[in-house]
Amino acid sequence: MDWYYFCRQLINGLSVGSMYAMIAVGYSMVYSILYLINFAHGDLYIFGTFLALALFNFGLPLPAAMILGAILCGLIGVGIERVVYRPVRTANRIVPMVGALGAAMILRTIAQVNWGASQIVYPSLMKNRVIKLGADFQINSQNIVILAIGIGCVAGFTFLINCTKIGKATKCVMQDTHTSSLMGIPINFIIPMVYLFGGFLGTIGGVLMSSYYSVINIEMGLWGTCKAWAASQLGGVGSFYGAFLGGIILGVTESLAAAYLDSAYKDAIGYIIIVVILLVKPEGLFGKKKAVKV
Amino acid sequence: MKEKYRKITGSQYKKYWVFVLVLCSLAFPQVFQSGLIIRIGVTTLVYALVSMGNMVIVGYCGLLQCGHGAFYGLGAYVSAILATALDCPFWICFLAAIVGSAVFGFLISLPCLRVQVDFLSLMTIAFAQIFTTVVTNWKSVTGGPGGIAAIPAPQLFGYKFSSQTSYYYLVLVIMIIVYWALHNLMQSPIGRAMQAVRDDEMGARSMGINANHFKILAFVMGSVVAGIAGSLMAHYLRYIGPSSFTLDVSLLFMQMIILGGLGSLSGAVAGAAFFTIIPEVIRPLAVYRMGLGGAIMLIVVLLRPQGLMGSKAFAGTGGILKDFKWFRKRRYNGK
Amino acid sequence: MEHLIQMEQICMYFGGVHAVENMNLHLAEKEILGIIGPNGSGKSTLINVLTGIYAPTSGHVLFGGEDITGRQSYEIAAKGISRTFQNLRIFRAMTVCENVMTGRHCKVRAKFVDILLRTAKYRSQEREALKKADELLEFVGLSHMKNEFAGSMSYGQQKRLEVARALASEPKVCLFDEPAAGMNSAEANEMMDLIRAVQKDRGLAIILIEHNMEAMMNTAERIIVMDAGHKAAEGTPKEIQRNQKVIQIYLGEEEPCC
Repeated sequence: MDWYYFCRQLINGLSVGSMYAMIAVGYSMVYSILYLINFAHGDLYIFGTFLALALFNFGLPLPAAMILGAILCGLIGVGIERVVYRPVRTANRIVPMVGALGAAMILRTIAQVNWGASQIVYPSLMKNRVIKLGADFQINSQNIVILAIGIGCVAGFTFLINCTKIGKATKCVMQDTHTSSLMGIPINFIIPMVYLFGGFLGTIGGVLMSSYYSVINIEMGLWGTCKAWAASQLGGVGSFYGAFLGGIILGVTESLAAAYLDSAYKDAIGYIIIVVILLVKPEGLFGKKKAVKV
Repeated sequence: MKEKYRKITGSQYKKYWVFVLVLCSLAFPQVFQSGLIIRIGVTTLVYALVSMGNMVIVGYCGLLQCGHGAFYGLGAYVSAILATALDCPFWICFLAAIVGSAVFGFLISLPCLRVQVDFLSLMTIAFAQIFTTVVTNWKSVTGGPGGIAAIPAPQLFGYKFSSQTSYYYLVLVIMIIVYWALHNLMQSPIGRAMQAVRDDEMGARSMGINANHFKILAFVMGSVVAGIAGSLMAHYLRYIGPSSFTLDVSLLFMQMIILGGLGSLSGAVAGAAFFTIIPEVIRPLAVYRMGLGGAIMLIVVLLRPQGLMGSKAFAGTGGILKDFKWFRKRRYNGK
Repeated sequence: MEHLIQMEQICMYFGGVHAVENMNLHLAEKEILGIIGPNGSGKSTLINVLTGIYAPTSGHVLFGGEDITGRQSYEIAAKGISRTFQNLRIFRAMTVCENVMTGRHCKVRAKFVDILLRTAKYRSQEREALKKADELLEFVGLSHMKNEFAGSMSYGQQKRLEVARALASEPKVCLFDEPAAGMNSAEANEMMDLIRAVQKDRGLAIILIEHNMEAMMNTAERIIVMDAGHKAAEGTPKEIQRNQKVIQIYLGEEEPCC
């Protein structure tokens, strides 16, 4: 077995995984509050990625465009929450799914009209340098930077959720929306905030991913939703560390599967892993079993 | 006005409505003789079949099955492979599609018993994705991305259903039979048991309902109906490829049943009609088509959260109309 | 003497928590047995062991002489033990009438094919189920709401619906887990009247869990007091009222004044 090859694939997988993870964390947060399968998430972050591209073409440097685009995308998420989800929040919980898909279709159309339906070349975030470690072992600096940004985002997020008032309120809302509203937590402020974060982190993940693969395509929205969904459920509901680790596991598995097995079956192998993990641990890797009171 | 409206759509007039609808659908190909419109009719009927199957699983049994396209595709592929590679007559292909999708549904339902609702939706999506990947890559059997072409038109009792109109009637008859059968089943203790499992699994178990048994039954019934639809579609289009059974298509079925109304078979049909006819109507808009479709979908859901035909029990506090009422009241008080 | 239900040496542990320890319980035919005890004393756990929601860590449950320990809850329900729940478990999106008809599930004899083809056998059975549901809704006083959605009813009505649903399967034993919880005293008394009527008119044996002392003393024929998973006392309501140990559990020990 070629260890260098394996390590390279592992590092590749880790950085792909951390991009999945950033997309998944926002998804997981929304899910654990409203138990809503948010089909607009993928299209939302792709839209944000396009916005960042548009800002870059306007003349901003890409990191600044990325952050500005992420904020704009978060605001769009807030708007979608207000218009599409809130009116049907009390209905059967799969009803908002149609609303989400409707919103996703509108976003996709706007993107298509503005930027065309075909694949676009995406600028790279930074110059890629090859770091040589030993004779034939080398690492791309891009991978390291992506991994660092991923970990940085999660660290910042951990700080936000554990050490600020809004974060603590969010934790309460995640456990019980109704009781938190009775305790005076403004849930109609907290839930849009969660959407804001979801859109923000998703767009950063999206920009990193698009610049890593140097293409972007609007059709990737649904694919992104599925990956986010898979990662967050794999990690377990209600723990965003779970979503993060779930994303990393998914990325590593897919990269290794593509390297050692048939790359045409890459996605399928990812899903097979998910099925197997869910069969062994039906509540996800880091999820807690909900106690049912009889 | 409202009182009158309620009276006409009330349950005592239901029989007449069904009669009128059946009559309309019988007259449909005679009135519109254009091939395109009959084609839309056939597509609606086939999609109505698939979404009725999905409705049994999601709307009645409460299992979030998001990969129904895979069952539909399996029926289509089984039927197409038998018809082209082995030259089987239509009725064998049709029965094989039913049996194949029943077995597939049964096998998939087993792991699904272990997981809770939302994990189940992920799992079914995973199965659907695995299905698409296998179909795309297993070139020797499924023809790969190119699909299977030259599927013969069905022949039953010496009659060849090769014209659009004859095929429409074939599908219509099968659709009505399936609707009638599912309607009987869903009104019966079986349907009630499934709904009980949907609303409260533990409560259902304490009433003597073997929840796992009914979950498997729902999966098998849903997949059989989807298999029937797949077989009919394959023989109608004469060509199938992996692009007709992607995750988008599965989600389309999901949208049909939610928009049609959970927990009502007629909702599945209405949803199928909605999602087949509206895109055709707004086709001239080209690029803006998808966005407008999304907007229409959004508005319908916001106005009627329970779906077109669904029961009020799923509506919650009820959509955007409440917001409008609140807004009007505020304006009135302001004056 | 042969008892209808006999629970022997039941222990139920959740990890390190000993919810029920060495409980013995028996229930004769047509008897109303009350179980009282402070919160967390293991009353509901005992009922859940009896109805098969939990499998006991050790011990045996006999029903009519047959060992039903660790059976699935739907099997136990089919044998003739039905129950209501402390936290309502009605089928919210179904109508009231459908709820009660669903309670009759274990009496359904029609096969799949019968239903598919609407044979005479199936139709007569459906008519019978509908008649039974009407009768039960009349009995609990909900017949005017027959076609409402169960989820849209008030709390008290939903509790009554659960009683009707539990009776629909024509059980031999019915377990009521806090049927009067969250009700005012007038409603609680109505509920207790209903439970007495269930025993008198229908000849069912009943196990009743309740916190409302007054209602319990008027209804039960025999009372078991549970404390921290153990049986603290057993006897007629009169005996229980005078039992020193029970008074200790509920009012606390008299502390010597300094």
